Amino acid sequence: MQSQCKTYRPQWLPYVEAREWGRDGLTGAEIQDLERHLQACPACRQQVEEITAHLNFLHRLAKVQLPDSLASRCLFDKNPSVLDPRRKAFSRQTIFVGVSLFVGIFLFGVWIGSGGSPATNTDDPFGALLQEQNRALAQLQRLVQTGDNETALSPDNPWYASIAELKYSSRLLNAYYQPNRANYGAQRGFCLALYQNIETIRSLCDYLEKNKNAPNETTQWIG
Amino acid sequence: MAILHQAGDSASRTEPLREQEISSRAACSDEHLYAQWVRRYSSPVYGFLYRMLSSSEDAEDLTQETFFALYQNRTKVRTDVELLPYLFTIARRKAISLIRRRTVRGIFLPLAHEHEQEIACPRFSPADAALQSQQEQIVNQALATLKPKYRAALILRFFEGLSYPEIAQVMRKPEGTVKSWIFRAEKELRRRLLPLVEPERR
Repeated sequence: MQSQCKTYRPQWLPYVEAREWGRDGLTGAEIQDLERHLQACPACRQQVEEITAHLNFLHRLAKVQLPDSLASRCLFDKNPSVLDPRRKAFSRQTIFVGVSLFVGIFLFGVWIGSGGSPATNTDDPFGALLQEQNRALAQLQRLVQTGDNETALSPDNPWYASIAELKYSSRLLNAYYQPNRANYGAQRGFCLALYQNIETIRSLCDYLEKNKNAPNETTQWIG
Repeated sequence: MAILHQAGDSASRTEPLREQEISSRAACSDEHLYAQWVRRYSSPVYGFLYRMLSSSEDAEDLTQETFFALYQNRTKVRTDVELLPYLFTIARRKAISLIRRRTVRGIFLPLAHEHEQEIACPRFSPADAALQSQQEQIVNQALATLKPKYRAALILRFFEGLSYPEIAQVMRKPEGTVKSWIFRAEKELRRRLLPLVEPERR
């Protein structure tokens, strides 16, 4: 009887619904078969009684009635913005802002990971040397400057070609350095070349500082 | 706020609507037809949502959202099918979505009751409590302990009186699966409501 009960068990709910409220779901033959089993099985009878009492209880429960103003709100207030803002926590706007923030942080991380701008990154020895060289060149330019124009060196100045060449070589060094920066040996080599450039410029600056009053001699020296 | 009155047989309530619906569709404008739909179906939709969410505020909001979705698609609605399962489908999706959001919120909130984590913390406002009878509250709390899919199937069957094929249509599942869910849900609910039902049997 136990194994039979197991097969009948899922049928008791539709059986009670059919018996109490005439709802379809079981055929007449199935109902007769279930009733035959019920007469012989007190355990299943008790279960059917429990289900009947439970469903009767649910049917007797008060039905929820529509609030007075809801139908008119559905009719006339079709703007969804009146709805609870708490549930709009994951609105399209919020998702867009969240995704943008994530992508922004990700790209910033990638930029930081790749070393950022070489000219501004002080951890980069080559970048720091490049800045140092530019400062030294600017100082050299100031020292060899003649006339009223303070911002640009005149092509007539005898130092013009030398300073232009130094600037060009630093740009060239930078261009070769960037693709090879991961190579430690190449990094050292480029830094050394830049350091030697700086030393040369500084020694020139010192010489010019000491010989301010002898321009002709200086011109001869670089010629 | 929800006002309660005695239930009739909810199965018979939806049956005559279809023929009226089809006959009126040809004669009325879409706006007029929408007004008829609201008058006829807002009550069962609200009732379903109220039982699903145990909160009159949320049920009202989602009823409005459900009918707003219907309004947006009013010209596309087919006249040869019953409208109520379609509305229940929209309402069920919105309710499940809200329950999930509540669950996410519930994870980050300290909960007093261990069941509340799995039942997605239903909100019972003092106003609701004042209006609900004690039995109502117990039934709503017991319903809230069921999984949302079981809860929806059970409410559609026993409170809204839908047939198994209609529930299968609403839940987008095979009829056998729906029967199995309702069987399990009824068993679980009966176990929880036993102290309430037992004295009535004696």
